[in-house]
Amino acid sequence: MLFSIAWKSLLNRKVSVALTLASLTLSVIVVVGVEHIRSQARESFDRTVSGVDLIVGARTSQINLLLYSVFRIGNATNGISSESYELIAGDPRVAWTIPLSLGDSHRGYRVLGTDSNFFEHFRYAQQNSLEFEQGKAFSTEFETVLGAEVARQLGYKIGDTITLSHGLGQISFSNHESTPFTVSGILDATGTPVDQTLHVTLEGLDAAHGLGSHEDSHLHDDEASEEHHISSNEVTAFMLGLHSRMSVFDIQGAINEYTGEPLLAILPGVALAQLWEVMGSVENILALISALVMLASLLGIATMLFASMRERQREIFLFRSVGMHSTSIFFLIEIEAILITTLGIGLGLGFVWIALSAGQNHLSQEYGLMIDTFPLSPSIAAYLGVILLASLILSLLPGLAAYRSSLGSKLKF
Amino acid sequence: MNFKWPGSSNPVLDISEFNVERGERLFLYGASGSGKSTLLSLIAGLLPSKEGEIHVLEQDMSKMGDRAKDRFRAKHIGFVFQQFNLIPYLDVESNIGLAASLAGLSKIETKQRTLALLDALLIDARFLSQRADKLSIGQQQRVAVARALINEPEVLIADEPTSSLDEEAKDEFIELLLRTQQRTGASVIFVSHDRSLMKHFDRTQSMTDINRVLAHRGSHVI
Repeated sequence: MLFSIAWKSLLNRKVSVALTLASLTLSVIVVVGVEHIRSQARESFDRTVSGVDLIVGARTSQINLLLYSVFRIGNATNGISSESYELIAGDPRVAWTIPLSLGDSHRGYRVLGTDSNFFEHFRYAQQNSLEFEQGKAFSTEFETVLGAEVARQLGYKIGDTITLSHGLGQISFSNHESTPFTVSGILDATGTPVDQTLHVTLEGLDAAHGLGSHEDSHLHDDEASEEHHISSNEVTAFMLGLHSRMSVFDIQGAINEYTGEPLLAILPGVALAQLWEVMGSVENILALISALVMLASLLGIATMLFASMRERQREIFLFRSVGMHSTSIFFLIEIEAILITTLGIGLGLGFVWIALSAGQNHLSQEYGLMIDTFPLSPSIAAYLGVILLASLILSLLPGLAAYRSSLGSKLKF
Repeated sequence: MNFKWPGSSNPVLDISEFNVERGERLFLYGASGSGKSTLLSLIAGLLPSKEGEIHVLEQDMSKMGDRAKDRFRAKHIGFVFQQFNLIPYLDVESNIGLAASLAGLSKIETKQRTLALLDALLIDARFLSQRADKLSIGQQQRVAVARALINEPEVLIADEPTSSLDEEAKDEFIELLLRTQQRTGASVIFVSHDRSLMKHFDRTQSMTDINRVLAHRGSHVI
């Protein structure tokens, strides 16, 4: 009965209730939107690499090495000589290595020079291995395997031929036109930077640069002095897997103290956590802002209910005169607060869901973010619970005001 | 019986004795500020009485707990006020039903009694689903009588219920109210400053005769 009275009372104050509800809905959108995208981004981030014990590159910061080797962001300052690479790869404790040679692009997508170990040993998410949607891994020098997004966006099929550009711009004046690559396979979507990458053989890449057996060198000499470029006997970095994870710290230490050239070996999990920590402060600020926005709305509910008290003196008196207890009047106000809050939460979730469903394609194309469109994760449910509780607590104020005014001193016939 | 508002040292009520018999129709008159409304609030248990005793149906109101008082009021006392008797955003049926459910009356019984009361008060049953604030003042006052009598209370308190009605409607309203009251035989305490209405009642009582605070005040003026 109280429930239906509260509901009708809210309907009776349509305008102020609707405005309060709108403000609350917006806040819920902010809180849920920020938290959902944050957790999805984190998940997507953590998916990028798994099953790799160490990543090795020229000495730089952990985060820089992680960024260019895994996220294909930024550039290496130096490469690793083939002597060092072969020495480390030949260690009996090392099970496999994936060489990574970066620095070229094709129409805005990065090109990764590697070998067939990449398709065999690279893992992402929960130890998922790469699968081919079509075709197979490269078998000759001038074949390329495309990430799902590259193939989709550029409309490439198996058998198409493409040429690479030197450097990373979308338009390059130095195209390796003499050495076209044929698409031999297209990978399944992974939701990681692999989707945005073209994979070619190291030999093919060298040939394209005219450093291999095929071509004479052309055009690069002047650029090479400004921007480091990978020569045939270098790789930019490499990933390695061990026979036993027990030896990971020994190997890491050995590489970091290697005297042949300055190298850095990182544990991908540790570096990912460190990188996320850098973003953590931004994350905290976002969380703080959304909490404040929410608090403002909840105060709005309390204010609205409080302001309604003046016009409701008579109503409260009537409820009392027909025998309603003062505590019921208190609960009436609390129920109104819960009704508005629940409605606001429902509407907010609905809007976020609709917005994510509509924007999902854009997010995955532009940012490589694969997100779940339904925003009700356990952590968000917990947030919503806190919101409901906070709304209850804040409306104690008008609730108690109603309770007090129902007690007598203000009751007049 | 003595009553002061909290924080005030001057009593507004000082009554040595005031009785209403069962089934009696009492006309209580007094100017505004004579303590009528305060007395009614005390009788109904809406205000706590600290000094003296108030017995309603052999029950001492000053010894009852809050919840017991609310329950007692719901079951045994009906109210009709000057105006704004009904919750404006609830329909007629809910306004009456709320009083009934607080007294623990069953739904079926409530429906039957509501229809009978509305019939007696000359209100068409189609108004049941009408929002209270959509009714005319006269209709609202009659619905208020139905609401006051739905639980067949022993006491009906009417506080200036005719003051918002026009002259010819006043007598008609009182006739209707008293005729409906006869069905249950409730005692009526009808409060007004308009002495022309006293002809409808068994007995008339003036506030100045029972409230000694007013007598003191009077003597000061003289």
